[in-house]
Amino acid sequence: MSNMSEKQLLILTIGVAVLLTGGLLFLVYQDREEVQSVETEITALESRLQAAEIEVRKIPKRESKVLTYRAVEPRELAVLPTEQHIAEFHRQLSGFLSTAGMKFQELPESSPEDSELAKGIRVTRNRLKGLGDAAAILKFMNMIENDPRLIAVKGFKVDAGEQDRDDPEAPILHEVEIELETYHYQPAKGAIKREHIPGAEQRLEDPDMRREIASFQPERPDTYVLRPAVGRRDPFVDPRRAKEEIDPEAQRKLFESEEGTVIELENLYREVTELLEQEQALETQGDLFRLDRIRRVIDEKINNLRARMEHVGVNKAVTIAALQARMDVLQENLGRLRTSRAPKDVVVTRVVAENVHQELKGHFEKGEYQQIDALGQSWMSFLRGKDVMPEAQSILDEIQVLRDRAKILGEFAGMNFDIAGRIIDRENAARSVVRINGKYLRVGDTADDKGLVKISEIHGDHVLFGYKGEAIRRACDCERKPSTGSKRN
Amino acid sequence: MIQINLLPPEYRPRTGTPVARFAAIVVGIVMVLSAGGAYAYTHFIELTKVRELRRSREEEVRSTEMQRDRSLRLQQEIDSYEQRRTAIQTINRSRTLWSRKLDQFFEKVTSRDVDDTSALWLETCEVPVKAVTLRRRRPNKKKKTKEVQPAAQFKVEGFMAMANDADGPALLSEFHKELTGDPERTGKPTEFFADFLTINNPNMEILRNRSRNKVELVPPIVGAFSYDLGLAPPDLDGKGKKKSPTGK
Repeated sequence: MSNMSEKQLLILTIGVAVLLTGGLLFLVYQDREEVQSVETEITALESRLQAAEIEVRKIPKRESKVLTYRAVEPRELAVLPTEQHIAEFHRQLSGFLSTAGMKFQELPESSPEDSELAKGIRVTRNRLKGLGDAAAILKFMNMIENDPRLIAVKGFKVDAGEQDRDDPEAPILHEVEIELETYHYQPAKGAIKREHIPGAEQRLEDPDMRREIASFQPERPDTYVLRPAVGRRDPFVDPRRAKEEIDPEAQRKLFESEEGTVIELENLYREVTELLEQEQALETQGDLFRLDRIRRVIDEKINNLRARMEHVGVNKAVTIAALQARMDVLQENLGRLRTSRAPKDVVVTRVVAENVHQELKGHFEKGEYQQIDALGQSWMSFLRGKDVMPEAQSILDEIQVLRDRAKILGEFAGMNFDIAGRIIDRENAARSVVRINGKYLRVGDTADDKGLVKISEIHGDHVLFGYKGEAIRRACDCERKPSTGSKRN
Repeated sequence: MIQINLLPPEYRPRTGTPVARFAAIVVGIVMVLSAGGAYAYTHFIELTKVRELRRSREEEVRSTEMQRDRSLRLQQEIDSYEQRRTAIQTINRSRTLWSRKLDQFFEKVTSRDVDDTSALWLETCEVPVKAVTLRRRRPNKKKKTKEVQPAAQFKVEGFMAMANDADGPALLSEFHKELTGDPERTGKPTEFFADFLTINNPNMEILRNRSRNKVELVPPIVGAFSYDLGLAPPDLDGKGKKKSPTGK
């Protein structure tokens, strides 16, 4: 070193400094590189963390879902047996066959296979062969399809049977092949790994979860109730009948019998048309009550005719073409009649009510109580089923009052009071005496056995009776006809 | 040549580090110290810090990924349940109640009374087996037409009796309308035909010698007809039915 010149020493110093600094900077560079790499790793870890957190956040929801699925599992699987129970199924098939009335022919060997639909669901395919009429086949298929265990009829073939030549009366049986599928649930061990959910018991008590579990609707097999088919013929049997030779005498008798039915119906129709003419005449006259009555009769007769014609149609009481044509004409006329008939008046107006009131009043003033009663009954019959306009209601009330009074006066007119003599005390009316039906009676005494008729006043020429609120005057010359009564309060 | 300084040391001129070298030494020391400081900061502070952070992140990731795996296992369990539910729904909803269809069809066939001039009866009635597929098939993207495939075929062969062979087409047309309700015109199919998608056109062949045991039958003329009906695909989504709480 001492031999080195100043210049050399200077170079050495600079060189050493540069080398040391360079070495250190290299180390710094390496560390920076590592920091960079670690930071990249941290970024990747954070990405993983974020991705994992997304899944983690779903845990409560997934746990709830799993708990719900587990809770509803028994109900959900009720439609699929958890074991095959093949013996039971075959016993059930036998029951169906005998109940439906089918003859069993063949049930080939079968074994359950994994369904392509889902893991654990196993399907057993059976092809059943049998014999039966259409009703039995239909009933058998219906019983299978309505079974709570899920059984599907995947296909079938029915071949019409032929009539036995030796025994034409024997039932015709058809060959049937039915392809059935039954299902059961048998998951492989560990197919569904059940994750432990802490606090599952408590969570199942949560009201929201209980509501969700309760609202679960399990899959239910659709069922069908066969239509009533008592009179239905077998659709696989030729229904045609052998051609019969027609006896002319029997044909004539049949014609006469059927013609009688048609004539009867035609007469009924004629009656209706005659009544329709009467209806028109009454309408022109404005005879309200008779018009109403006749309209009711016409409606009744039309309904009766319709019912009779329907009955004839259902029972096929008319089979001869010529007579059927007459029936068709009748049917057409009746249809036209029904559509052309105007609807009845269904509202009672004030004018109508006033007219009736005036008529009743006229009879009342003449003391014609029986006419009032008859007219009143027609009026009530006319009112049936009709609406009353509000302004006519007061008149209706007056008519009712008039009818009630006429009834009372009519009743009194029917009573026999023989007024034979009287003693009048003009000073003290209470002491006046009248002899009625052999009895001496004073004011306030009852003149009948029931005690309904009271003597209100005794006068020289008449006696005033009180009956059901009416004051009725009767002359003392023993005339039965009373004079017009007046309302007492 | 050897040079000897004979001056006593106190008289000799003072010697020190030359300025240039001194400056170089000072600059060098500063540079080395700076670089050393940078290295120390990077190595002992920054690197340690990121390593520590990485370690803590790794821990976090480990524990979170354990939970994630649990979440995924739960989802897997849910998927199994959903697949099972879908399978049960597919089995149930793809089930056609053939007793219902046959009952309705028999009603149509037998509604014509024997006394009518066009009594009907059947020779064969068949529904070939077709496999059940899970849910609805996705429409084929290559084919632009959305052709819906029938879920099953209902094949029928039968006979129709008539008084006059010229009546055959008219009577068959009448039966066709009774069977279908003529939805193209009326817009309303019959209860029977409502579940079907397609039906072939009426066809008939007049047969001779269809007497029974050589007995002449009424009506005398018989025509053979056949029908091939395509059943509409089932409503696997259960539209109109109440959805289950966790069902899709």
